[in-house]
Amino acid sequence: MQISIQSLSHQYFNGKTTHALEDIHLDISQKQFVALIGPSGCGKSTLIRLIANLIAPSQGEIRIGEFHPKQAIENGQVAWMAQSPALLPWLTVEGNLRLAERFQKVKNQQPLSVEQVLKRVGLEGAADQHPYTLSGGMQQRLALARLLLQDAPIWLMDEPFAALDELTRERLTEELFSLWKDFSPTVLWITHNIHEAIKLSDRILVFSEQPGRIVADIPTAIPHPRLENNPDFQELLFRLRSILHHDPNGNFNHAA
Amino acid sequence: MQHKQSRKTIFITLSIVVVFFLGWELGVFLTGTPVYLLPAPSRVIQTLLSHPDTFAQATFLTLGEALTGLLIGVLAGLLLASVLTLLPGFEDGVMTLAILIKSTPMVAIAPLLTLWLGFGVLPKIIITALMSFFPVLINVLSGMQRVDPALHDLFKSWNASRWEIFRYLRAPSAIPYLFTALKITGPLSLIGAVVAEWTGASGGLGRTMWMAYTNLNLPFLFAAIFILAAAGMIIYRIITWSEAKAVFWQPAQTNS
Ligand SMILES: Nc1ncnc2c1ncn2[C@@H]1O[C@H](COP(=O)(O)OP(=O)(O)OP(=O)(O)O)[C@@H](O)[C@H]1O
Ligand SMILES: [Mg+2]
Repeated sequence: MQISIQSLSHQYFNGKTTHALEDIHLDISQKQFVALIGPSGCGKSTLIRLIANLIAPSQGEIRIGEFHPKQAIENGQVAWMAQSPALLPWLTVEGNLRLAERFQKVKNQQPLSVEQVLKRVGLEGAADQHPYTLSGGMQQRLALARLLLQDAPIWLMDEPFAALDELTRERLTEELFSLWKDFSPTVLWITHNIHEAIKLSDRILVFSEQPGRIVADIPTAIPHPRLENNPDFQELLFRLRSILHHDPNGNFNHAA
Repeated sequence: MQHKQSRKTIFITLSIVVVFFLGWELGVFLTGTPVYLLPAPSRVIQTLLSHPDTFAQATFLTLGEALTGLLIGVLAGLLLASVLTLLPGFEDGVMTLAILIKSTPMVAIAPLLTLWLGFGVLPKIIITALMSFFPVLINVLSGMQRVDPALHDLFKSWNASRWEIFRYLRAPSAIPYLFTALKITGPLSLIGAVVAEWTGASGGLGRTMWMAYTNLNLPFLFAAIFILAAAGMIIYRIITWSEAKAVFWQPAQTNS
């Protein structure tokens, strides 16, 4: 399922006007793994929330396949995950997944069962525990399991592991990559970590400072596994750093 | 650790109670205060034990009125909070009316109810219900409205209906708020019933107190006060105990 975005702009109005996004044009093809990077407050979350129909755009159009975001959500085409694991604290691990299962849309694919997703993320032993007894990493694993259960062709991920320690974040990022290889969804993934973006994605979109525009759209064609000592890796890293530090608006920022 | 802590707390609580009553007893004895001004606690207990049936009957009646009123008030508060959450258009109108009634002092309404409805239990139940209703309505309503935004977004991304969000998210989120209200209204319901009994009743602790007061029978009056204090404390304890069971996912209050 591809995503296509035409002349998209977004403003927030509360007291003052914030120009979050300006004139975004974007086509993402099916099964692409796309990383979004850019300075804080440049509108990355806004873009993902617009695609997930959590907010409506001020101007422009978003198409998910042939659908508007609202229809795509109704059809269960889009799954969304953010930094907070967003678990229901009064339900057990299994209870949280059973609830998600209720909202699963019936599609042509064979959806995974609660038992299967628990096993896939390595939480099969914790089914009867409550979220507050889980570590931060386990909580995000549960959120990943829930995402799998939704069986959506598009995954929108807003810094899903940003709140975790470095080691756990690396492990979960690898896990996400392996899930993507097995289930081939289209992934839009916001990250603050340039290394991870290069390691995983097919394509990196770099946003400017507010109002957010796409200032670079870079395919990453380095063969996997991408090791940091690969000269291509280093070159791309250097290139992304220089874009982030001196974006074409002439602004200087500390996003890297 | 936890166990030790609670033992220590119980010990401190008991010590304070014992010191308080010993001081009272000793003070009355040393100053030679006459019994029609302030009876010693031992005298009050003696009175209590020598009229077991009288006090048991009065307690039973007052407790029955208070708990029936409490139950009705809580159920009505829950119901109205749910309706206002599901149909938010009515909130302003209903809340204005609710606050208007709330601002009318119960001591002014109680004699009117007695005038209209007689000396039976009905006016007492109505007063108690009215007093329990508002804290429940206001607390539960804000609990239902102030849900975790990340969880709300999650349900939105699942295309959950207003009813489903209420059923799976808003209602359980309001449980801790319900207990906050119960801790206020539980002990208060006894006061409501007693105040209503003062305005005219055929029985109950309020009536016992009023009769004792007009006869300057202070041991009798204090015996009723002792029962009320003990009952209020027991109700409060039952509520905090149920709270710990029902809201198990929230960490216990810390005070260090
Ligand atoms: N609900 C809102 N109301 C008003 N302004 C908002 C709202 N949400 C975001 N903004 C503003 O819009 C701009 C873009 O916010 P957004 O959350 O999309 O940034 P971001 O790129 O995700 O930042 P970060 O990397 O820090 O998460 C910011 O200036 C932010 O303050
Ligand atoms: Mg963000």
